[in-house]
Amino acid sequence: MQTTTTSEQHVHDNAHAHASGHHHTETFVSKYIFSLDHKTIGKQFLTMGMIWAIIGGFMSVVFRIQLGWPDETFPILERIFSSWFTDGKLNPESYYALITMHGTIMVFFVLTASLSGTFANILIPLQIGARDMASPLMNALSFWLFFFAGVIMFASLFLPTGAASAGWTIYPPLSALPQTSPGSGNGMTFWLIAMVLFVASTLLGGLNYVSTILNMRTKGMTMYRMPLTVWALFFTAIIGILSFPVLVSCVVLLIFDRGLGTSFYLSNIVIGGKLLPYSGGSPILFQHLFWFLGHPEVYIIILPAMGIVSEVLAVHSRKPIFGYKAMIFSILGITVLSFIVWAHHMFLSGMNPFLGSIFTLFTLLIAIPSAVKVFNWLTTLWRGNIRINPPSMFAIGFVSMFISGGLTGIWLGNSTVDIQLHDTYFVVAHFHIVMGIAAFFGMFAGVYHWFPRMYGRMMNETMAYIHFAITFIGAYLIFWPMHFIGLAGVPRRYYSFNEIEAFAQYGDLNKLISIATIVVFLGQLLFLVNFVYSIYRGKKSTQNPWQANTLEWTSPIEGIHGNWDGELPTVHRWPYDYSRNPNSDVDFIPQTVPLTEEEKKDKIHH
Amino acid sequence: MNLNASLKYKVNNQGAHRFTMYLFIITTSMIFAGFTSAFLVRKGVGGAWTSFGIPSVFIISTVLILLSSVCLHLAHLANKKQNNVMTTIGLFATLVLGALFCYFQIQGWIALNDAGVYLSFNPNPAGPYFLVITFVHAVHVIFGLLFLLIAFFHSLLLLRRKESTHVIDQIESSEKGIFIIRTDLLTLFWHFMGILWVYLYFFLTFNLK
Repeated sequence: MQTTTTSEQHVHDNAHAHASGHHHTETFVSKYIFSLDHKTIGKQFLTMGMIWAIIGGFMSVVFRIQLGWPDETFPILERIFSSWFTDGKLNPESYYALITMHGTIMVFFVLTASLSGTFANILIPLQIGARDMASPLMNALSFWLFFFAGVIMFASLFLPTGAASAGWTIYPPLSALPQTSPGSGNGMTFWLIAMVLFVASTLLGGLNYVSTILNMRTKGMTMYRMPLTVWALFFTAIIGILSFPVLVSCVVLLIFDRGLGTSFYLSNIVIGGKLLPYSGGSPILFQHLFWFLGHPEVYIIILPAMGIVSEVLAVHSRKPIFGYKAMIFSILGITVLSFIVWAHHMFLSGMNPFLGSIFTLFTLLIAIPSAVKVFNWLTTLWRGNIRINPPSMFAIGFVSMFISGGLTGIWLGNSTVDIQLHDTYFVVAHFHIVMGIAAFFGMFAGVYHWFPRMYGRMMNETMAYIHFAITFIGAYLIFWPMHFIGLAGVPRRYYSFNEIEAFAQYGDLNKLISIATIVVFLGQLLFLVNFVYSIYRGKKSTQNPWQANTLEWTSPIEGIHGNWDGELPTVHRWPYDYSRNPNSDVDFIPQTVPLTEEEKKDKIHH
Repeated sequence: MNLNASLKYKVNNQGAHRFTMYLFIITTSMIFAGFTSAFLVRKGVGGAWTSFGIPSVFIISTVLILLSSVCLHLAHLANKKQNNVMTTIGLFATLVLGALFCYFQIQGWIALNDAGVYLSFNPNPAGPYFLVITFVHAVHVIFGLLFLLIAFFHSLLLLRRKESTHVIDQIESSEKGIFIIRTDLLTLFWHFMGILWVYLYFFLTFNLK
């Protein structure tokens, strides 16, 4: 049955004797629900991610309706969401619950768990030539913990007191004292339990990804021959391993404050004229602990998208990625810097201005690796034989979004400029473009690119182009005006600006933003239709539809358990040998093709 | 059964398992790095912060967890030499010492409570920090004990199987091989619990002087 062969480097492979027959009987439950196969787990993460993205996106539609038409009443919405509305108007408490849950769902459930979960699961074993993850069981556990975290978070929406409403950053004392707002009662308890499960899920996944990449690469797959997707997912997992545990420490102290009368974050609070018995705590401590996770978290979100875009751009511009090692070291630079910039979220918390200038310096340093990456994407496209198709459109869209959002990061990273811009719509515009929309573009590029790998069929291109146009134009329509509103000082998270004369003048802009939000949301439903339609009715894919070099396109397209029949493939070159030989009809050389004698003499990267 | 079919493709990745455990140890260390840096920051702020003497009961628990680590290591060595009886005895000793550690931790908390260092609505934050940090460590130890209990019953079962003379060439395809890998990982985790406690003990003792 199994003979274990060991070769020189990192090879742990079972060359199992029976080359065909993987036709063990599988029931629906064992195949699709309690599966240990990394490809199925990846699809599970993707499905959950799409469900959560629709829920989170719909929440933004509801609160954008409030912001766009603060005077109107919506009896129809009240009929559906009766507990959120009173007299056809959204309750202020529900508004805060909705923005809190929108942030939590999008940041953690969609862009952390589903983006990393989907692509790390599908791509890591397939691109490094492994049969599965280092521990398939831990991998499945990771999904199921994520699933139950989601069940608890979803259940909190139906609590009589409403879901958590202290913002996704859950700053105490608002989050610590149940009497401060309805959502700080059971809603916050559910939030905290769900997030502890979520962190456990992320850690189980992350440990597995790092361990798999370092231990299970196939013969010839040296670190410098790994596709940039794998590099990006590798550093993403490392950031998660180092930063998420600190969120646990942070949340444990908050749970003690909420339930057991400690005062880690609470001090001298008067509610309703009564002094509470808490003393000696510091709410700023919470911010430090939270943002020690919270800032690396934004790189956990954006790095996988960067990796996907690097791979997709190289494939579809038919050129080697420009600056392969520069790409790796810029990811490493971002990883290291991500841990020493957290206090730029806290410039206005009363911290020492000198400390603020140090954090400004580190923050601005991140512009260097980010710019290296942007230049490398642009130079990869430069004079490439660009193939226009949905994945390449979304990858180029990602670069556009990343530049637009990244530039405003330079403003916000300055402690002095932040005095004006802190907690305004400028911040909302900045982080939505650079880590929300950009990460979604990376995710869409990845889904369109690897859909044939996942389901053996191509996605419908017409629907994809409409989806792209709506999303690209719509995203700019939503977030571009927010920069101006923010520069004017309009604060974020407010329920209504009607009563504030200085801000009420932006009513029309707010209407425009809200209309664009609704259109973009409907556009995403089109993507969903395309996704489901293409699974069943899409054009059948060939083995290697994009003519790409990486290993996943050599594995049988039906997706067998164990990924390759017989021996694992051997790797002879790096994954970016596109348009190498101008005289050849074929402009790509897969990683499994041995080097020719001529190539061995070359000094270029293999 | 599909589960077995899936396991069939598991590769010989003992190295990967060990590596994953090292990563897990790093993540757990980060939790306590978070706690101890919060402790230092809060102490640095000053204000209402009064240090207190740590009860001597905690010295007993320190000795106990170190002894349990030695026992588990001996059990692990015996296990690698296929000595099932010694393995079982070693696991049992570790279990008892680990449970005693938890017992003396509780005694320590009671002693602190009697000395006026309590958890709820304590105007002195030093006390709650001490209690929460040691409590979270104890929770980790209890999870370790659960896995020790499973390993102990597993080794009892293996005692009755009498297959200890069997040569293990395929470590993951035999039950004994799987047991060796699990004990190996458990030993790593348990040593880490001991080292972590010694670190916490000295950290808290010096910072609460």
